[in-house]
Amino acid sequence: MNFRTYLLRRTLHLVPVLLGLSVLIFVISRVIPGDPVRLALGTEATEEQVRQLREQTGLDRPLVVQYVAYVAGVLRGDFGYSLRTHRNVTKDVLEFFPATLELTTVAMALAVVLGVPLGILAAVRKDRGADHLSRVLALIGVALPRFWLAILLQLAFAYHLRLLPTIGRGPAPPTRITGLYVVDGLLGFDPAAAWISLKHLAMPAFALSVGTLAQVMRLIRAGMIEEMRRDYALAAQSYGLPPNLIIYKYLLKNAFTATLTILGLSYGFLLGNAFLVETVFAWPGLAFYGVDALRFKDFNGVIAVTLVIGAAYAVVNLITDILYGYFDPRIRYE
Amino acid sequence: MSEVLAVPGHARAARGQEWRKMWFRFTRSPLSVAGLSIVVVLILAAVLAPVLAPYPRHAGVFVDFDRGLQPPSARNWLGTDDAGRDILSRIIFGARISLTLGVVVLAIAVGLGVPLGLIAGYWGGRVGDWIMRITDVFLAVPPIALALAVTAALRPTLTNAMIAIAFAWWPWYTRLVYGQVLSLKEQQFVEASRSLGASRWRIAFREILPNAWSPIIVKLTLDMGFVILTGSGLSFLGLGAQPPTPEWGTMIAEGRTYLPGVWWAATFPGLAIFVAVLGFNLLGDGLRDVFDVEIEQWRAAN
Repeated sequence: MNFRTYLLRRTLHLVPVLLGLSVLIFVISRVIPGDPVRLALGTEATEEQVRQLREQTGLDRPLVVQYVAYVAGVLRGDFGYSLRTHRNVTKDVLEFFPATLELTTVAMALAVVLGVPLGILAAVRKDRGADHLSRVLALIGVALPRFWLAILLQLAFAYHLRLLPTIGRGPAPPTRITGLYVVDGLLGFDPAAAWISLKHLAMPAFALSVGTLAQVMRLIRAGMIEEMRRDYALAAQSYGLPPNLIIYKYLLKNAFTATLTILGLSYGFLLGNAFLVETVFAWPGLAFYGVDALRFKDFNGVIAVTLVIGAAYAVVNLITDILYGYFDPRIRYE
Repeated sequence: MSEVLAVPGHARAARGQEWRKMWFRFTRSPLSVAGLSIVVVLILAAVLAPVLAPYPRHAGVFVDFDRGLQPPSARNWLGTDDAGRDILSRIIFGARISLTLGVVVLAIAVGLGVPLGLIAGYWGGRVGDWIMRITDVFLAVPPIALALAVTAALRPTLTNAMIAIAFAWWPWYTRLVYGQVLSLKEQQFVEASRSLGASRWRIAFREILPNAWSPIIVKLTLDMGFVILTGSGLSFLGLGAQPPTPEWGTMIAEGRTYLPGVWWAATFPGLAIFVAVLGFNLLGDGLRDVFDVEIEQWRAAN
């Protein structure tokens, strides 16, 4: 099988999974005690108003009909009407998603940018001070409750040191191109705006990234140590190649490939924790929106958030697989 | 000839020796011992909470507004919350909630996930395909997102939070067991059992399952920490245990409203979660080394 067929198959595999997910979430949200329509209208509503809104939202039709209508809508890019924000959920998703994308991507970037060098350092200094320190840091990083770390960071850097803003994303840059504030600030040639956005991003992104950072560090360390034992590393060494060249050009590439497969999974971890971190920082992202939708039993909102997060997760895993094929041409696509 | 006789007593003695060796290896690692100690302390705190807590009544509905939001002192080591309750006492009682949550969630996850994995792996066929496809669907969203979606459909209570997390957690066990079964089912002892005419149920549950326990136990230990973390996260969002339950995540959510002046009310419960998760992680790592199993530990835990 060549790479293109592999990609096609891999992409097609997503269809049943996402379809299954939509059934799952739809059933969960509809098999509920309590009436979302009555909840949205409040206790003052008349029977007539309730009946009207129920008809309007299609909640009076059989479940299967509702589902088919829903999926048809989603395929047209229509996630339905929100009983909470009183507008189309698609609009909400488009508005809130870039903030989550920005946050999780920067968190992932931080994890890689900091985790890889620290992992290399730990491998090179195996069983010495730096290695032990990195092991302790990794254990702490994995066990830290993200929302608690977020609160501690707020306490230290916003309240006491007053270095960073406490909550939110800050003002939107004047030009909206991607919805990612830092990128928009740079694209609009407005470095000041980008800097402000970056300052807002710093704490949430770091709080979100620690777990992944710890994982990347440990995996790179393990991978590097394994690669160092290989014959080719020994051969390169005996040729008298400079150690840095061996480490960065040969060993790291192989060690990173093993880490890469985990990064896709870690992205799911980041998306999940975004619900907590966005809540602490009042970060106006999809997860923040989702938590509000949950509290108000706004089911179209809940379904849309879950589906978009599932899709984002799937796409990231797809990208990881493609990169994996790029880094390691030996893998066969079976 | 005596040495070829399989005497049950010998097997037991051999097993005892094996355990002693494992225990020896386990105690060689200070980190593993630290993990075990933390877990033992947690269990003791949960069991002896009414004896250990300085103010057992503060764990429930209790108010003493005159002593509200007091900083740590000799009287209240970790300070008091807005209703004047002793935070240390509440944290000790919180251990009961977190451990119960972990045990209940994982019992359901194992109860569902393990048999499904066995069936999918050993029976295979169409049923097996369907099981694994459904598992894939559940794994398509991060567990916490799925658990949140479930809580949306239920009333926010601790019990419902447990149901929601278990609902999102079982597929990991199906996948783990499925993988185990695939690698075990071609082994000779299974072959031998099959040629003796053992039934499929017997082979699956009596031959394969006992040999698949060590990775399951390691994973369970590690997951205890991650489930506690997830549960406290749900409660923090207001979708799990409700005040005045002394759940750690709920306590953080309550304490957070008094920041930055009242730093202790949110800080100490968080420390408790951190230590608990760390303990189970260290213990799990230690068991993994002793049992010498490889499992996908670095997965999307929550």
